[in-house]
Amino acid sequence: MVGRPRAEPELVARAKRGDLDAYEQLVREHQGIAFRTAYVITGSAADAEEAVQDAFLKAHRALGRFREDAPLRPWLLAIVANEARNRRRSAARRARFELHLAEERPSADAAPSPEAALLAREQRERLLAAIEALGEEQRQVVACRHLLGLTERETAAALGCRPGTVKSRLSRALARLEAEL
Amino acid sequence: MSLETRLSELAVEWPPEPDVAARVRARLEAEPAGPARRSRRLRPAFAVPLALLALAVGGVAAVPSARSAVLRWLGIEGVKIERVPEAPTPAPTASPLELGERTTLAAATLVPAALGRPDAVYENFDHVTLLYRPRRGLPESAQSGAGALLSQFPGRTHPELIRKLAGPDTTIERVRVGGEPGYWLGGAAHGLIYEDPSGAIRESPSRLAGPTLVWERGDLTLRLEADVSKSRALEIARSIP
Repeated sequence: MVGRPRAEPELVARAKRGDLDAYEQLVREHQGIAFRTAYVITGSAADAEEAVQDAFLKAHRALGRFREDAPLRPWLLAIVANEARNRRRSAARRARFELHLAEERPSADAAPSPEAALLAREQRERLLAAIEALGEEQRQVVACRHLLGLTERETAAALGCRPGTVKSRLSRALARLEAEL
Repeated sequence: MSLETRLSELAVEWPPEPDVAARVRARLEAEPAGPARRSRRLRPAFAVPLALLALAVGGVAAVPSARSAVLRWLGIEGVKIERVPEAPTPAPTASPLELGERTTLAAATLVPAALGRPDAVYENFDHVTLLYRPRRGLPESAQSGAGALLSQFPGRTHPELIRKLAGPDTTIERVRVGGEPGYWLGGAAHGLIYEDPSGAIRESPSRLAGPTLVWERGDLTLRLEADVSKSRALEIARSIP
């Protein structure tokens, strides 16, 4: 029986004192978003996985510099994104990350009619196709902000630009999508 | 339904999440006396005085506390320039020049047309440095031994990657390069504290640096160190396409 997840500042404090269990738990909590962010940057699942592993090792080394009361995720994502961008820069071929629609989750309440489900699926496919048609920078900013749910600051760290750039790039991307649909 | 809502409800399938935690754990266990333990001993609170200690005159003069020694500071993204009352001198143990690992020129690297292809390229985390050997118009720097060093890194993600300690005989001038802010440090050599871009604390990162131009360019911060005049440095900086 696993208890409630411990509060992050406590885990960070323990990890700083060299508690590997605590650090492993922190990695486990953030590895999903870290991996998907790295994937958006590198376009390769294998590169993303390596980048995330190396980033968590570097973060462990740098943990002494981290303020315990600050949120851990933006700090981790900045390190992850740096690693991912390095890999992307040195990659011989620049891959684009691929997006696929997840399988329809069966809804617990009133299942939609087959026609409605088909329509919804078509709309989602059109939206996805419109995202695919965007340039790499706009696609990345849409993926970070709306598909991964990163904050503006986290997106800026992930893409290595200023929050202002995220804002303007995103609004141009959304305008393109609106026009496309 | 708004576009934003539709986007956030667009269930996307990502590649399966790898079990990073277990592998990170295994790698950390494999390095019991590794850098993690060492750098933990060196907490930030101690790191700053230590770095300053490395710059103290011959190690004899009393070292003022880190805060009171700074008269005022200026800076751009990733670079903090501190005005200090005494000219910093590197400790004899200070490392000469640490640029990271040798790499090749990537397509994304900015190269000034005025200097052409660099003689060598180094990479440390996301900090890339181009090295130019001394040649006509680029005299050998007494501090770095190079003709010119041009570094570039995303300034936003490294709040204080580079700290510069400017003594009374170092001049600091505000400049603009391509409409973006920068500083020219001329006159006497200044102290340079360079933190490891991966976020790890460096124990003896200090050296002296000669005339230097630091400036922002979009999301990057650039740093050019060369024994040239301010106008030549600006010319080089502006020749980056």
